[in-house]
Amino acid sequence: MKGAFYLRLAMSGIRRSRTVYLPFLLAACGVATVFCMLASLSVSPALEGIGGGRTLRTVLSLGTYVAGFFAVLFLYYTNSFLLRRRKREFGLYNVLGMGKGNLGRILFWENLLTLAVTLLVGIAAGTALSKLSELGLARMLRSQVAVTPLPVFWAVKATVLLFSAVFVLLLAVGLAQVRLSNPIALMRSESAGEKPPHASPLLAVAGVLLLGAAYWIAVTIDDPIQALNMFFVAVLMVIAATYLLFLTGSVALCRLLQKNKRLYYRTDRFVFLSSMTFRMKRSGAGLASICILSTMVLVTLSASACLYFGVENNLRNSYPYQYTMHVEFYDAEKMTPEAIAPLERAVADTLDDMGVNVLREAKCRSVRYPVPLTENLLAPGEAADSDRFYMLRLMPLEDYNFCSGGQDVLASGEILLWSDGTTYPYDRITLGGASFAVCPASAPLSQKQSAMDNTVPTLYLALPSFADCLAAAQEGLNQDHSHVWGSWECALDTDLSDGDQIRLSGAVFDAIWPQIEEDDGMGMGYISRAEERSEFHGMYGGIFFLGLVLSAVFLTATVLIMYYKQTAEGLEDHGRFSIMRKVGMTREDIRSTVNAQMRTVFLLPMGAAVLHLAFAFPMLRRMLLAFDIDDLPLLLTTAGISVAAFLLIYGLFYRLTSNAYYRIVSNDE
Amino acid sequence: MLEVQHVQKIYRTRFGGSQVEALHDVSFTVEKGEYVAIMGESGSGKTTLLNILAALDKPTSGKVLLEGRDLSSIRESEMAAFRRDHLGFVFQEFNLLDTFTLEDNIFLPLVLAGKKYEEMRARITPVAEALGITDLLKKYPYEVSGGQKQRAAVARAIITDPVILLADEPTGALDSHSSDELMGVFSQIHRSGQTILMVTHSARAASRAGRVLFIKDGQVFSQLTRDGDGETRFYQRISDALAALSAGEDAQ
Repeated sequence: MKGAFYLRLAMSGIRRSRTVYLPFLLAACGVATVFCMLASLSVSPALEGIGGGRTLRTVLSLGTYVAGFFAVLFLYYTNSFLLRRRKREFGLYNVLGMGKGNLGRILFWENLLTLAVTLLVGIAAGTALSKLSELGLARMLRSQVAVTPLPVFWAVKATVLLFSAVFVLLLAVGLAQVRLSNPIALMRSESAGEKPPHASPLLAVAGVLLLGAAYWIAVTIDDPIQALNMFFVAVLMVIAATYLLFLTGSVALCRLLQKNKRLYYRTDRFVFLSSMTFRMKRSGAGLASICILSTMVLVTLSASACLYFGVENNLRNSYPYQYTMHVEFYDAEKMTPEAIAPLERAVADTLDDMGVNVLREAKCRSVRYPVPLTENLLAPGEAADSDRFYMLRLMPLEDYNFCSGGQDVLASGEILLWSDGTTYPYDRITLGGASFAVCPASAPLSQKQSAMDNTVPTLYLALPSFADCLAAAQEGLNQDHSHVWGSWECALDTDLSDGDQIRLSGAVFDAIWPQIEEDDGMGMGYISRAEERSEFHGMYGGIFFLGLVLSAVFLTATVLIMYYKQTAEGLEDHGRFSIMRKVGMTREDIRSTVNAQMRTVFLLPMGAAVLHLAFAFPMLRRMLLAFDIDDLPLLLTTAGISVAAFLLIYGLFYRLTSNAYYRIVSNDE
Repeated sequence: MLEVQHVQKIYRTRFGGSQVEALHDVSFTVEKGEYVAIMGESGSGKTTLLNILAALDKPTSGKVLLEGRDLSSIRESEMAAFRRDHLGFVFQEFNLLDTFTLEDNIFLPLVLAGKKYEEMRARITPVAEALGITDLLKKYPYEVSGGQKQRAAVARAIITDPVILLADEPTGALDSHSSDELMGVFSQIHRSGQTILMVTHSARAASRAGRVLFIKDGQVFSQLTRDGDGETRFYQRISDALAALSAGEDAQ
């Protein structure tokens, strides 16, 4: 009976302050939905079967932790807004003779009701969304997955536990607030006079220095791996600096503006500037949060989109041909025309059998061995002896021209040289006792054989014939035959679909493998771009998808913080605007003041977020390099689109919330 | 200069149910340079009347003319500017903005009127001096006493050189010492030629005025003029009139 009474009080309390309560409830449901959704996805069996599913699940469970952490912070923040508004009501109950214990019970019921709604909505919507996401994810990853409509037990359990804990925390905070204050203080807590904020120049300077240092790190870091580590340090510094600057720097700036009397005492700035100054200290935290969340949205979106859309470019850079196959002879002298002929036939037969239309092909024989560099003498030896060490790849000029599409010619005593990023500092090369004049190649090689070539500095050299290559490598052969490998490569572009390409590579492998299986002196390897692509899509598609989801979460949070800010400030400013109306402020004056205020408050965090993004750019580039993506135009495009899309959505919500603000302050009642 | 003609004000509850007649046929005039106090008990319609005079509210019927101009003929969009340029207000609760220094509070109507900073400076100096708040101008409302706040509010009201100064219970939130001080300020600005209309239910405050109107049940019940009486004498007469006013109520 008694419980029912408090329940009724709690419910009527919620109803009465619904302007602030409803958004809080929505926020809680929203965060719970996102959390439950990520949690379900992270253990989804539907992801198990697809390429890169394991990576994806790791990334998703990381996202779950981030979302959970954010949920705690965010609900704590919004709840403190709510409490400030509710204190008056509690003060009234207290004056009417309700003890703090009774108030505690009302708070308890309120929190319990909110928790129940939050869990119900969060789990239902989260499960539904995760199922939809599984379907969407499967589409994005181009794979077939089975989606079951049942909620995931683990996710439900995690959601219930996390949010129950959060609401216990919120209840504790509420109880502490009620306990600490007396009834009069509770009733007046909203209208308590406030000291004007004092800008602390020291903190503002600290903020500037911190931001400068973070930007400096972001701009100057060169090493991709270091960039990945330092990124988090820089992020922390930027977050700290943003809070410092919004809290103190902006007050200092406004104060400075106020010093200029002629600028300050103007109809369009007067009210706006002084209330900004006054408010900055309190709303600075809100603005800084909006700024940081916006930055997170922008960075996440542009980087993950760049990663996803950069995959194709990246694949084409790493694997210029759809299909590349190489057969290795661990003794280069065994690579005779007789040994190569059956391999060529096997490939040709397979292509014929499958009726494949070959669009482009490259075939190449080469001899390869590692050398340390001493003067201009390239002699085989222990690689560890020298810190400058190259892989030499010698091939007949005919094969080089076939693969490069060029028409280089060599005079006697000349050697053709091409390298991809590796510099050879001399104009002569001494090989196998003979000295050659270096002649740079006119056209680059179209294919590089293996991932090895991308990691070890390689010099591509061409001599008139294969015999010349073997002769040049003679020194190495004399030392130890197993140092010098012969390699026969074959690269193809076809008109096949991704699936058929994978089948083709299997068929070619099946045709060649039996021929070399028994031979200890031979090996083979192949790379199919289509296969790599499905693997890449599994990983980057997941990252991109997660980027979208996290951006949506951050955006929701931003919008909610914005809404709270506007409502809370509107209620606070209502009295001020009604005074100003009595003193002779016209409706247009109010409108223009509100607009000026809104514009600044809208643009300030956005401007700062875009600035953060701009300075994060060099670092983002370096980090993407670690994923082998080096595509500045693409990054600029994805960043541009992210900023534009974000501005649009953010602007729309800003318009809505600032209308709410205007309605509140211009309300006569 | 200010003419109130047969003003009636009826409040309806939101859904058109019951009606309350706050003012019933009120008529009086205020001449230029006059200092008039309006007295009456709570609920007598004083505040409604003042709101109508301040053009914050419209009468249901009747007219209010300020310098011959009908307030109801002024368009809504010009109303705020009209109020700013012609009327000065002093409120019971001071209504100072806590985000402004006293100086900025006083500047507010001038800034809204788009005046130049030099002109604003030139205007504030004599006003602040007259009200004895020159040293307080850089302070915030929360840093000064109630009496000082109200003097700043008076400064804000008269800095625009209004045709009439309207005061709504200006001493209502002040202790007796501050009230006396404030009434001294009112007398002082009245002597300098300012027309003042003050609503109060303090007989002591009203005794400073040149004429006192008594309002009861939405009508002007009676009026007293000073006729050269000293403050003490006038105060006595006002007290007697108030006693008669409540006695009349008892008699009914």
